[in-house]
Amino acid sequence: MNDQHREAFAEEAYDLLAELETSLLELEERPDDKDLIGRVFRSMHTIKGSGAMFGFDDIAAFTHEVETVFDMVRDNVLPVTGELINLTLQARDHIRWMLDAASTGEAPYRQGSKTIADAFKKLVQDKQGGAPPLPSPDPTALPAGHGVLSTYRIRFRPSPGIFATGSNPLLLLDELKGLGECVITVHTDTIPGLEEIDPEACYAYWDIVLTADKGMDVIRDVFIFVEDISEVTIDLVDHGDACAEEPDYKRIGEILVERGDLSPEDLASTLKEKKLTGDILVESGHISRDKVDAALAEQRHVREMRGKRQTEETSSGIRVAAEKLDSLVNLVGELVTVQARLSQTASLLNHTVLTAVAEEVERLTGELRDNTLNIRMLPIGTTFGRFRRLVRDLSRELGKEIEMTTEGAETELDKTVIERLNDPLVHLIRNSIDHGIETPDERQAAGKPRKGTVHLSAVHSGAHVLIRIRDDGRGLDREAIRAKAVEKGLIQHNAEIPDKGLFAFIFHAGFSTAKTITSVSGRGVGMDVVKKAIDALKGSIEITSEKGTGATVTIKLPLTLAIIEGLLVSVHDRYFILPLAIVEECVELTGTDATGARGGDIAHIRGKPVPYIRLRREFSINGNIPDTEQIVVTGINGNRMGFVVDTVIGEHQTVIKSLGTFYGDVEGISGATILGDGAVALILDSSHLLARVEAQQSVR
Amino acid sequence: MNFVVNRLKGTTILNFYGKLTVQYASEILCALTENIQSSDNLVLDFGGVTDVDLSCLQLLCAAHRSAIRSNTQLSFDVRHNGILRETLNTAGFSEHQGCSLETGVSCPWNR
Amino acid sequence: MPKTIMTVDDSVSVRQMVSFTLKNAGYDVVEASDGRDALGKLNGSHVNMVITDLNMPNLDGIGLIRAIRSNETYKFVPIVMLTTESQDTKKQEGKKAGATGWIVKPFNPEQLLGVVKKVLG
Repeated sequence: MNDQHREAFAEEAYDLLAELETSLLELEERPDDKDLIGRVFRSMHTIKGSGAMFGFDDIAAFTHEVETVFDMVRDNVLPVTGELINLTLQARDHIRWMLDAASTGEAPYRQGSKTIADAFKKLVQDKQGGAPPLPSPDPTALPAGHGVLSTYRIRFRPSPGIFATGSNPLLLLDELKGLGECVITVHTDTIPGLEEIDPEACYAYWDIVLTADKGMDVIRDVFIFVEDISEVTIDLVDHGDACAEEPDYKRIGEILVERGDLSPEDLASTLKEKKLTGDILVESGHISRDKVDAALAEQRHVREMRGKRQTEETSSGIRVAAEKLDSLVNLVGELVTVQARLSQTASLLNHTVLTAVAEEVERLTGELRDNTLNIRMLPIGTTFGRFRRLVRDLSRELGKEIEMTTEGAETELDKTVIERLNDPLVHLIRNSIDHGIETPDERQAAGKPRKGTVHLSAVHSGAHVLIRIRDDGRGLDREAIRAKAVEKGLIQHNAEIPDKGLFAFIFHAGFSTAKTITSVSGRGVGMDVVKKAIDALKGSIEITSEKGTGATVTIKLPLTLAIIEGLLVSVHDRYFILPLAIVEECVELTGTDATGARGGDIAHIRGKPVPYIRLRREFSINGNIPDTEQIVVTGINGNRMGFVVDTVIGEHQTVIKSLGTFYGDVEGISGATILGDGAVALILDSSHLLARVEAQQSVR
Repeated sequence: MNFVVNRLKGTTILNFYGKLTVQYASEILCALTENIQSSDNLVLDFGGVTDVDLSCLQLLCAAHRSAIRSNTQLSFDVRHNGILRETLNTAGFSEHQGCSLETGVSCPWNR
Repeated sequence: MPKTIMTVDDSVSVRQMVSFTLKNAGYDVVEASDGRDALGKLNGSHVNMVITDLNMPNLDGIGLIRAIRSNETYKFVPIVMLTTESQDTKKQEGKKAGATGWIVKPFNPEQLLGVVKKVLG
């Protein structure tokens, strides 16, 4: 659209908005003044109208909402209230803002439009006691049946005088063809010979069978200019929703009776003969050949379309309820457990044939497990798309220039994991945008490009997926975090702590160094929430940062929640599983390490202190303490923590079973699994145990 | 005038060109009527046609009817002209199997 | 050969916008400021379609449509009238006079071209 036109419109619109403001303020004083209401309505109407003319579609759409409300005010459906005036003034400001934005070439921020439009809708609904929402101005949202292939039977019979109105019926047929798969049959039986024909009159008429993903309204619109000088009937004859349909379609006789071309009596008498119905009908003179042809065309068309739809459905896969998938995963879990028992039994009995079978079962079970878990996998890319919008909107709100780049959108993760990952990722990205990336001016001053980057990547790494959020912002302020940690009593004043450990403090509850609260972040919903969510996903989170050049948050997640790689350990006759992902090393606990008093013990492993807990004590297990105990060192977010056990048995494919509602809340235990010999092993919730130990330490 | 008439021996050839649209429908009607009455063997040629609309397709149908009644041999071939072919397709003549006068044997659209 | 469309409107900005849109879409455009001007400019020249406003000085849209339809040369030319939501009676009158279709103001370029395509092909 020509800029000159747009400028002219903008000028006009600013005038109208100024007038609107005055009218609104007057209206507040004299809410019953019909003239004022009319003036407000007309201002809105003109802005909407010209806006649409000159390409300001956003403004037109938004103003339409307001105009609709004032239409109701004009019709005495809605009263003029202070709330309405407030809202309309807000809307007026917003339109002005949209105009400003358009002239500076900045894309309007839709969120604001929606908020105000929603408020108007609510106003209307409240007044009408929950009446349906206002009609949307978006015409594409209206037609029913959109997206579903439906078949329509259309009879189009123009009046003889249609040419004299400048209409060309063939263009309408062409337009129908553009809507979808179309079979057009002409009827010529009304065309007389040359002796009687009026060359400027229309005689022909049509039967059209159309399959399209459009609603009835769209099809009716094709005939909008000619509907009162033509006979147009549109019937829905086949709807795409009927899935269980047969590829076959109605018999030719039925179609003709439905169309009103044939009486049921004539059909019945014809059906007594045993020939092709169409042929008999034409021969018997009940009906013209055209009519039969048209019906045949419909029959053929619908059959084809149904056939097509069925093929499409088969090739594009099937939809399965999530519960069915869950129960399949559960069954596979059971099978894996039984298979482990079988393998164990076979090796115990040392029976060659049985061992061979057990190995075969093991292989098959493994494949079955992988395949089943694969079904639940989805690419993470869908979530990435949502973040792109988030980055765009937030950076605009904060006046920053930020570009988001992504990598590894195709990386697959368990469906549940993806769903539960959304909120933590949103939080982290918000943090990057709000605290990480500087304003364009700051960036320029620091010798960086004005535009900041948030890079989101996902990559496979063994049985894990690594998700990274990297920004090129100002990085974490080491000293601020350190000061805060000292203030909170988390570290000694002069303690030497590596970055990794120091940064991990920001995951502590209430640990926010943000000096101001912005609308984006810093409201105290801190990183601890993020960490909890990641913990719940059996994952870990880590931050690296270089002051001035940016920060990277790495989230490490297991591929699936249903089966994890675990380390099986035992204390006396009890079995425990630790997620292998967090295990760093296993060492013998020497006598000298067992120093500390009371609950908290510290071992010195390679010169570094590692707090540990004894599972024997934690779970009150009796039995003899072996001469050498093992300590399993885990690392969570840079915090090392040892678990003292009797024996480390080894890696174990762990099918996680929930403890059920009764035991669901037991602290320190996140689930259980069944071992090959049928024994139960508890899965330790290491982060919870760690938190407990930390709490004990801080008491001291 | 959007046609020329050529007569050779017992055959009359009507060569149409340019626009066969409703604006010229009356003229075309005259030409068809005259030549169907006056000749035993009429050939219509659409080689030079650049535009055709429904009115003229109707006229051709009507001519076919009159030809049957007056025992004139009427023949034309629509395949040579892309525009004509396309219009016939849009107008739904490709699904047409012959009119009520006869059962498809001589229908000009049905070839 | 590009098709020629005549746009008739006493409002310069609307005429400009229509003309601009159509020219961009590859049509030739003849502008006229009212019904009388339009008839003068038609006078036997080649026009494939007429888009006319209804409220105009000298000769209004309805009068123009009647005049065009009674002219042998333009008897079958598509005529689209520009109406507003409130002008339903005018619209009926225009249809009776022989208008092919209508566009409700306000409209945007896409809508305009949609209607042109619908009646002109």
